[in-house]
Amino acid sequence: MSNTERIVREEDGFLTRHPKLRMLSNSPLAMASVVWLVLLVLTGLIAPPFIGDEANRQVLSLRFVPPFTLDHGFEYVLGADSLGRPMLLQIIMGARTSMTVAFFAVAISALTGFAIGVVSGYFGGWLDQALMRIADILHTIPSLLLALAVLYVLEPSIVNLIGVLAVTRIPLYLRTSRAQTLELRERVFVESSRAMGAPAWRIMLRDIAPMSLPTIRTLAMLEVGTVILAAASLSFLGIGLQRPDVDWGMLVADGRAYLSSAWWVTVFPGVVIVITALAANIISNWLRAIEDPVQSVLFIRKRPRESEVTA
Amino acid sequence: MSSLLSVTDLEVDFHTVQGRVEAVRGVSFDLAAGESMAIVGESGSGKSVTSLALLGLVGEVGEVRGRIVFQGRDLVGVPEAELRDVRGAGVSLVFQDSLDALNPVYTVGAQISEILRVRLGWSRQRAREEALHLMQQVGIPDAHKRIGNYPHQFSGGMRQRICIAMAIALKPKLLVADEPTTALDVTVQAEILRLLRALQRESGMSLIFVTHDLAVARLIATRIIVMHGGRVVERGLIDDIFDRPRHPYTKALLAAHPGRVASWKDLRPIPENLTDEAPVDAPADQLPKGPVEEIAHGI
Repeated sequence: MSNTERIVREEDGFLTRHPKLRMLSNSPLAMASVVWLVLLVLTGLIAPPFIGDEANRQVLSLRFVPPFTLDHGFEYVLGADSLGRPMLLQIIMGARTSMTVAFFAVAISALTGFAIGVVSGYFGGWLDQALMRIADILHTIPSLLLALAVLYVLEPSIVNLIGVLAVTRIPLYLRTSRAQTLELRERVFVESSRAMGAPAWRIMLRDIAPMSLPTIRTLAMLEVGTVILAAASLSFLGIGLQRPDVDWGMLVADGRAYLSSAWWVTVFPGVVIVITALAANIISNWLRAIEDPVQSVLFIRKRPRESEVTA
Repeated sequence: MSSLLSVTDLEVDFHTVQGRVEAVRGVSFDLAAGESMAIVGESGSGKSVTSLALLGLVGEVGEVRGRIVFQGRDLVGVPEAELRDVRGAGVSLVFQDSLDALNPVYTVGAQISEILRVRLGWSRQRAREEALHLMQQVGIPDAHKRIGNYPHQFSGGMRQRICIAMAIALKPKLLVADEPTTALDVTVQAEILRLLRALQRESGMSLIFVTHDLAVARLIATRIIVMHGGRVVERGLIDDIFDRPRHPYTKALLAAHPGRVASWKDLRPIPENLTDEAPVDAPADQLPKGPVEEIAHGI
């Protein structure tokens, strides 16, 4: 990081104090991804209370209004579905549910898996063995299949959806953090902490967790994309959410029957799913790169011509 | 003589997949308060394991037998929670690799003051002041500027000083230094040794110095234990051992030191299986004495 600071210090201003923002500004793809996700989160947070009724209002005279025309008002700019509901507003409503599901499912599975993995790896023994076998079993069951079964039995709701997706993704974090803990606990600074009389929980919290956090964070960001896709798949199969809740997978499923005549009902939500998953992946990759001192140089190197001209 | 530490018949086994490894066999020694002792031996002689066993750090794969009586309290077989009270405040440890001994994600100031805040319950402010004081005590120049630096921003010698500052933060009665100067170059090594001696003189703590370097042992310790194959093969006052080594292994060890021979051609490798009395062809007392003495008294 000392290198980063030295280079950044040459200039003054906002970016000087936030080297990561500077790195972000030098990487257009990551920047675009962040902007997209922030936009999605903001509209998902702010818009729904205002447009909830509009989004679900069925205007049968406006069935299959084609997109890219403002004749019926701005909300119909992306067309309408089979019951005359505006696509744009439905996608925004879907953003809220998709982002909620993705955020909570990832947060719960990451925190739980991380905590169990560190404890399991640090202490080892029969508990570690038992936990790892459970993780093995969970891993062998296709997560979508398990989600299907559980949601078929339980009532499909946002909470159940989050629960199922969170549980099925725990083994991933558990294995990763356990593997890192196994390596880290043999390091001298852990032994040094023990030699200073630190109890086990403190060593896990202060020595091991901070060292494996970057990996878990990268993994979690990657998982945001996966979970959005999984939630969409479940809704597409019809056992995810039910109306009046809207999510992107459901929108794609709704338009399936009319694909040849009204492509926009399927394509727009589909495109949004793809872009969001892609954005999450790009950010994940970017986070990994800037954490790596060797690769981060690529992001902090400024375009030399520009600064010379201004100087 | 009231001894601070009394080790009797210490044995450490490691249970590995290949079977039992006997790392330490029947090691006994006493250490008085304020005394400094060196444990000397080659790699795998059991000297590091002995020092780790003193803090109960041998781990779950190791099995410790015998008695380690520290301040009248036997530390063998004591539960982890009780050992934690002794660690740091009673017996403290300095490691060989100072880069890996410090947590890379916290500043050195945070790491030193954390010990004080957790173990003594001090306030953040008070702990920071003491951390600064400790850093000055171990000779970090511009300590107030460097307190916010991370371990990788220090040189090897400065980092080892930080490790020493952490080790003495709780004013231990006994400091165990496990090859603290091995990773450093010679001039820095001398500074660290001088620092350890000065700290010892100020605080009156005892010191166990683990090293493979006899010359270094001579600079820091008054008494010496020579270990080989997990056993103590010779013990005594350091000058006696240097002048009149009795055990063939000690003789071989002295003969293998470049400082004690005229040219590299006279260096003798240490023969194998010296735990049995095997003949050695270069008795130390006939070798020319020179550089070792100079180093010893020049510092």
